[in-house]
Amino acid sequence: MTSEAPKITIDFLIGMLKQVIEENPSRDRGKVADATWGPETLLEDTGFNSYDFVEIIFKLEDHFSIEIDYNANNNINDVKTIGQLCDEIAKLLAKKQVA
Amino acid sequence: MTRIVVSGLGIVSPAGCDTASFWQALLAGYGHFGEASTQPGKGIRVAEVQDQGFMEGLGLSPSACDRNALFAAAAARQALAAAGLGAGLPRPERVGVILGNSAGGQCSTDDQYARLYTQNKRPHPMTVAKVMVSSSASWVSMTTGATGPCFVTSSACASSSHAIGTAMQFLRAGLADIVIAGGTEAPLSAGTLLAWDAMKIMSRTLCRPFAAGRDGLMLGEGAGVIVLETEAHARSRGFTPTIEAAGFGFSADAGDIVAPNVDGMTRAMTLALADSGLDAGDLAYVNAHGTGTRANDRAETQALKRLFGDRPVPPASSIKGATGHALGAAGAFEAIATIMAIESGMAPPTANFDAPDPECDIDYVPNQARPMPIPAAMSNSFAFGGLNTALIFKALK
Repeated sequence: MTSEAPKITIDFLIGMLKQVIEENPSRDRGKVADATWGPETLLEDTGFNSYDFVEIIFKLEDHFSIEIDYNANNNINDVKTIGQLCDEIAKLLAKKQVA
Repeated sequence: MTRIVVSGLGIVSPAGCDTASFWQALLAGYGHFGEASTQPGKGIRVAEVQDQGFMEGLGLSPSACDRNALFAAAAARQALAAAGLGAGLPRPERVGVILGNSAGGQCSTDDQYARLYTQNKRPHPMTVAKVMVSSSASWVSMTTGATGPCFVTSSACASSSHAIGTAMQFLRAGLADIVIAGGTEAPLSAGTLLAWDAMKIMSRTLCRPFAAGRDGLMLGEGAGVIVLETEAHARSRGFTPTIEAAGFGFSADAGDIVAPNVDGMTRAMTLALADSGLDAGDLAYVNAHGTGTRANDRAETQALKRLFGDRPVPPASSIKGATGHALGAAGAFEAIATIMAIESGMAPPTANFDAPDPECDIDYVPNQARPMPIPAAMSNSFAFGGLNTALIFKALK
């Protein structure tokens, strides 16, 4: 049986990023309001940190009722922009298409 | 300043349940790794204490004590015997117990709350006494007869380093003659394992600190205990010490609840050096925190480089490839390894080191133990929440 892979859009991801950053406030997150949110936006300008990556994956797993093969020690954490993050998450989600 | 010495060591760990077998396993880079046996955590790789014989003769029952208290009592018994205090304590009111523990009786919490939530059965009457985070210190007090200052320090993965450092300060301040110091943890319950797994930082292979192929940490369990004593007291009872507990440094990042911080790490190490009266160049070896996570190992590498500045960073290694990460017991395991490295003139290797990571470009003693003179060495512990400690031990001439 083959199942359709869940799809993620940049707008959906940006919404999730904003939510994660709002839910996990810290002193270094003052730049959130000023950032221009789009594919080219540098994650560091949004206040995004490595733990947020885990939180995003956790939310996606809950949202799509799937398990994502992700380890926080992989180089995937080296992505710099929101667009790159979206691409990497899309790759993880695409793995779910395997029968 | 009052000199503090080490007079006995005791350990219960996945790499061995006495100091000799622990050391042999560390030098060989071997520890027992398997898959968690608990449901639903089954399949997660963990480092477990294998030899259940450590409990024999303690007179303690698992129905009254959480596993972490059993570990602590067993390690304390070994350490006191090594210190020549196995037959009884002189002036028990002058003997303290300061242990680190990060999260209390996690196996007991899981067991009892599972009864409640899945079977609608009330918890056992000993549940509170088993799960309280100070329980292990109480059991060590009861099993050894120590009636001096007794409490638990809790600072996640730095818990037992804080305990050992605090014990040094209590001894310097004249609040005790002897402190039974160290830490214990028994975190391999299903709930704890799954909570750690949700952070996506658990290895699916082996713990490989500082190596290119590292894919995270592996939880471990056990207890490490060090008998610390003022030098004057040790000598007055005819004990000849060989190791000084020379320095303790600690800091808080005031930064992130999980991310490591190079500044905070460096400050703890700098303060430990200042406390010991040594220069960085006097350190021949560093026992690193080295969890095998991407973030810690990079940050610790940067912090060590910053500490040593223009001088070469001495050989450093992490024993977590053999012991797993025993959280509140980790600092005690590693302080004991640091002391044994000084005593034996041998740096234990970083086990499971598959290939160098360009971002961790220090001599991490890959896979092979290294004979070398170690007159002084440092042991690092860096905890979630930005709580950093460094301990320095040195050989007494």
